[in-house]
Amino acid sequence: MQWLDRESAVVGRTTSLNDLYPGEMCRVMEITGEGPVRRRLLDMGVVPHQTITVVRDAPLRDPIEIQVGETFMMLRRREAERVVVTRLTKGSAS
Amino acid sequence: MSTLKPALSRHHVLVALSGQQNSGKSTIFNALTGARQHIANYPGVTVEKKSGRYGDSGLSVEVVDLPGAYSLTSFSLEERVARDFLTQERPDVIVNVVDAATLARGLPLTLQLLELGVPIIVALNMMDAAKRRGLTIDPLELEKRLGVPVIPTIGRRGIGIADLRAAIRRVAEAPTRPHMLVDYTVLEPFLHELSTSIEAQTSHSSSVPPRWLAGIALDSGNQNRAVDASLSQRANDIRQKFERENGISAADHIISCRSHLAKDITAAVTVSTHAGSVPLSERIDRLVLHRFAAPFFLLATIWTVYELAIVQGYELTKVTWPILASFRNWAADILPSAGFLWDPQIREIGLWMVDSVNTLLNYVPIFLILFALIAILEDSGYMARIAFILDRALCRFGLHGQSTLPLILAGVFAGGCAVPGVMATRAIPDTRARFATILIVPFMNCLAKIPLYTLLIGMFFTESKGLILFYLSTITVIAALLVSKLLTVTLLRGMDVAPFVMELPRYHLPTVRGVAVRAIERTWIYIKKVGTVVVAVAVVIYALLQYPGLSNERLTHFQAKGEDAIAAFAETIHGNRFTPAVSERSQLITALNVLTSYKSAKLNAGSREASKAIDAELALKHPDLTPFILRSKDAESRTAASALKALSDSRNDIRREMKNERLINSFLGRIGHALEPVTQFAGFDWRINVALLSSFAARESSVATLGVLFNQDDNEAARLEDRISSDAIANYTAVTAVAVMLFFALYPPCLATTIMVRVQTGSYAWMMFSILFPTFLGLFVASTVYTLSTVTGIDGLTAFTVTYLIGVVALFLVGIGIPRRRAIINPPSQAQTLEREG
Repeated sequence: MQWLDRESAVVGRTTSLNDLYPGEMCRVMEITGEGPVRRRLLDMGVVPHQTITVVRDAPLRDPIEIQVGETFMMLRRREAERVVVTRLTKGSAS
Repeated sequence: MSTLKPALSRHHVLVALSGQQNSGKSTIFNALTGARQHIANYPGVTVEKKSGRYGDSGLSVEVVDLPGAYSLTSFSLEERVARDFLTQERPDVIVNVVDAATLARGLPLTLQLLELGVPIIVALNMMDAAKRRGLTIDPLELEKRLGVPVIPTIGRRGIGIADLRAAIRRVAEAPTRPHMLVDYTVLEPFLHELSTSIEAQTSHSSSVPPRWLAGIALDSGNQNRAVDASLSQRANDIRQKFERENGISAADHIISCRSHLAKDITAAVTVSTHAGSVPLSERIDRLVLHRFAAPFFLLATIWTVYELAIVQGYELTKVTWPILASFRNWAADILPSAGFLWDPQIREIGLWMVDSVNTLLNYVPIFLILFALIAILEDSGYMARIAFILDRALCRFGLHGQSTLPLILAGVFAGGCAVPGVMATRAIPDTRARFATILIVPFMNCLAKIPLYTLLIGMFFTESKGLILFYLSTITVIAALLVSKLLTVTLLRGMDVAPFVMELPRYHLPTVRGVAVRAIERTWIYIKKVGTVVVAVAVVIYALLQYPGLSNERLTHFQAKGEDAIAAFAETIHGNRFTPAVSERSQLITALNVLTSYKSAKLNAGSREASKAIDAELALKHPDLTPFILRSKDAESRTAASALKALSDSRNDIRREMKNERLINSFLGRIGHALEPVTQFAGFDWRINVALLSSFAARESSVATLGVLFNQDDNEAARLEDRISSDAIANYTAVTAVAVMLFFALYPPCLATTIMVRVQTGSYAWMMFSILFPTFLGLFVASTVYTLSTVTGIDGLTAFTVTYLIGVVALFLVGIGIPRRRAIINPPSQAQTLEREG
């Protein structure tokens, strides 16, 4: 029972976008901090309730590529850390 | 819906083209305006302003391509520029280009534009890409929802452009103010309160709706510049009140309202047929951005750009150089002709200018290829992927993923040119990283640095040639990265940093026209800059090299030598039947000049036919001088020709000697002497100083100047080597060579590059910095190495190795850092890992 629950316990817990692995999906809760980074993320569609898929890491592990709606975008891990998300079960898309 | 004054009464319509990055705005712009474009900068900033015109049956339409912006808040320079243009220039029509495939992300900007109260047309672009993604969008439904005309377009293929023009005309004839669509719910009362205050303010210009200003003021927080100080205070009060009452920031609320409406509209107008399928671009990226394959594709791309632009470009300059050379010969012909030893001032300065301009125009073929390739990289979407792959490595040193290309062009590997390198930095969105890149690009090994390296290596390091070459080609990168880091944490610290949050655009096949237009545009800008600035600077350097000139005593000395040579000539051809043709002094000088220009024309002739044509022309123009010049079987003619050649040679020798003395005596030579007390610590005597100073005009000249200073022909490096090492005065050692090479590696950019630095930074102060900083740095490094090596008595190779290792260690210390990692909450199971790798 315990090992079965582990996945569902992780799903639903808030974490940062930086902690997700490629292929995982999440929902945006909030973006912490102020300034241009936050603004750019919001303008590019990383808004609360939006669903995001982590697509891949760069060859040197940073930055990461994510899919937001129909758009693919990249951001550095430093920026991804500021996006608070909840994990969703791994989606079928990519 | 209120009616606006028709713009048609003026027969001139101002259209602003607005849209997000990668929405295909530029293709729409090109399709609308054709070749009639004008590029300038927005006042006070380095953001490019593109405008163009077209006529539509009596209507003159001016289209301004606004910088791509995701919204109109003032967080980035581009957004600020776009917003200021819209509010201050008040265009008659806004054409909002929206990428049909990413409608939900594009519409928030549209909704924001609608609130401006300016008539809008939405160009629903890249309908083909949307279709390929399985998205069917109903333009009529979108038109109904937005309340403004929606024109489906495919900019790349010119589809929908006629409709777009017709719509622009319709809207210009009967402009209507669009409705504001977004309901800001709980923010509405606050918006109303602030807009009433703004309306009451007399200073407010009536053209921008107060509600829009109120929205911007609440939205942008402390960054806003849309309203003046007193209103800004009021806006802050109202915003804080809202945030206290609702527990959410006003900006978030505004964005969230817009993005929800955008999503609703998108859902209502779009039918998705293969939802969940993987887009083609993503399928390509699975290979191209694959962890192990990505470096391979990147290297292949870089190699291709380097090979085509730099290597093949240089091949191409061999074809174009004769054109420039014949221009020089033409100038040499029309300028007052040369004297025996002294040329008219106007001739000297005129030729100097032509030479300076030619040196720079020589790069034009390289630039055309280069800019075309850059345009292809940009348009295809690969440029953004380069940033993705390399950002991590470069970001440590204050650079940006997109700094890669400038560094490559400037010659990371084997030699490039800093001028296109500096030019290519314009694509870097982050101001701080862009400045850092501009300032380190000149450290790369430009092709013109190589002759001096070759000379010194040939003299002092024949044993360990490969090692020294390796040191030289890599130490520049090490130095550049360290300097970049240094500048980033000091001088550049306060500069704007753009967030590294970028779209990975879909792959596109670039169009031939789009690429050609951009390549020609950028090259033309370069030529214009060269035309204006180089001429001015060339005059200054000319003066520094020529004045104050030779003393009377020396002049008499050279005069006497010249007379001796002429006397010898007269003796040789005494009694020769061709003598009458050169009996007068003026005739003789003409003969010498004809010989000189004949020789340079022959050198420039590409084929045997051309060569024969030159002979024929000579025979026609100067029949009496022909026996002195053309090869002939006639014995007297041969004597005459060899005598004239001997005279011409001794004339050249005397001239070279004079040039040498004049250089030593010139201001630049004196500066070289004056610098000795400082440069002695680096082991540089005045000759090296002068060579290094003169190479500022063009790197190529350092070896030539050394040749002049060591007193003979300047084209034969092998002999120059012997001369330098055997010269008793020159007490150079391998350590001196190391010091010179280190200095040269860190040496300030050449004239053309500094001009590009001026253009790209928009500031003379940075241009001066780009000259002075490397000079001091280079001198510091060279002096330290030379002095310490001399004191400790180590040889040149050891000194270089030690310096190199210190550089590597420093780089390692600065560059090392623990990469950010995921928090380990959920280590992936074996199965998940396999799935990811697969």
